[in-house]
Amino acid sequence: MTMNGVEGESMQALNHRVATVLRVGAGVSAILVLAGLLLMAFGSSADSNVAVPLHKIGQEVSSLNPIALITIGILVMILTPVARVAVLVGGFASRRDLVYVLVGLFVLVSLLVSLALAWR
Amino acid sequence: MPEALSLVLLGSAASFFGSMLGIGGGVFIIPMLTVVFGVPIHDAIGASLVSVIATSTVTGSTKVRSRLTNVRLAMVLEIATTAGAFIGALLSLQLNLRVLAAVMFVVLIASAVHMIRRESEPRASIKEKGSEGNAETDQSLAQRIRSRLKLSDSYYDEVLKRDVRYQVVRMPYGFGLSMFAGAVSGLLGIGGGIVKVPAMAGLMRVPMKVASATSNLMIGVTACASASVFYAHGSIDAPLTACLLLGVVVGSFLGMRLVGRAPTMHLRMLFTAVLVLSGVLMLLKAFGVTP
Repeated sequence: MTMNGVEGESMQALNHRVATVLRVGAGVSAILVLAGLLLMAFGSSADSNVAVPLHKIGQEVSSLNPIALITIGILVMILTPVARVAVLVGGFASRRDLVYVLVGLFVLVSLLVSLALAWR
Repeated sequence: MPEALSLVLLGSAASFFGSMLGIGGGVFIIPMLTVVFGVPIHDAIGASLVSVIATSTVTGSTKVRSRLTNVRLAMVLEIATTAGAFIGALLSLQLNLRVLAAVMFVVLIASAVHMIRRESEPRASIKEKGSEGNAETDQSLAQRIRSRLKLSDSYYDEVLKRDVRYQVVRMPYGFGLSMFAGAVSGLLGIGGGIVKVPAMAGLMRVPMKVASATSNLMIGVTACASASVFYAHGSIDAPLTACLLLGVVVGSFLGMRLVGRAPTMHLRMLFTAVLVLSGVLMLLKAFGVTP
């Protein structure tokens, strides 16, 4: 009953978009992390291995701290699933599937809340 | 430098064999990091959480296109797993190596049991599960919610060579167990499939293959909640995590290509031994018996 032709097809298109987001996220993250490791091996050194806190990233990247570059790569990986949920919310919205727009928004909001709480 | 390379190798081997054996890579990564590499437990968990997201992302990018992944079911249960993961991560940062090693030991034994039993994936039970689910018409509210959620779906089964339709039942229990799975994931830095897959396949009557693919997709969002707690706490060791991440991306990519080649019983027995041994070694280290 749910898998009538039209819905099944657009669901498939949505899944393809999700797959693209996941692949791009993983690829970009791996490249950034690799660049950071190479920079660390052959270039500048860092005084601490701890991932750079969010508010210092811009400043640390401009001073070519390899740990900051790696941190950005790791953050891209951590945020890729969030992007995936956002794409799904958009997809369900365009299909007027209100229940799943709300479910998706709830997941997004709880992720944002956990990010915000974690940073207090 | 040699340590960096061995970490990349650890990540790729763990995710490769993990996906092949259907138990994820975290159960290999945590004991190896703490026992062999001497990494502090919370740094190990933080790195493993990012690895687990990487596995879910790389594997999901292929699996989500097949109808094996039930995206709707994943999204509903993610509400529970993210809440659980956040609480689990906060709890984890308060606990010491001994407690975490003891909980990890239980999970390693459970994974070993799961791996052996997976051998006999019940073909008979792939039959029209939940087709008798209409008998539960007495719960009209539950029924209404269920029809609004549109969780029933179908997938093409390659063994049976036909479409299999299924319904999802006992959502409230599945929701509760997903929260528990999220908490275990945030606590130990593993994917939590060891809780979710049996919950979905056994309790909610989702076909095993769908349960496994759906669980994998959920892991990314789940570990995102706990990984951000570890990041904010300063428990993400960047180079360590980077090496593992690279290995995991390569390993899960390869593991995915080779899925379908079922591992032999000998390989299963070998990895069962590895899991039990690493659990014991981790306990010995945690309680100061070995340095």
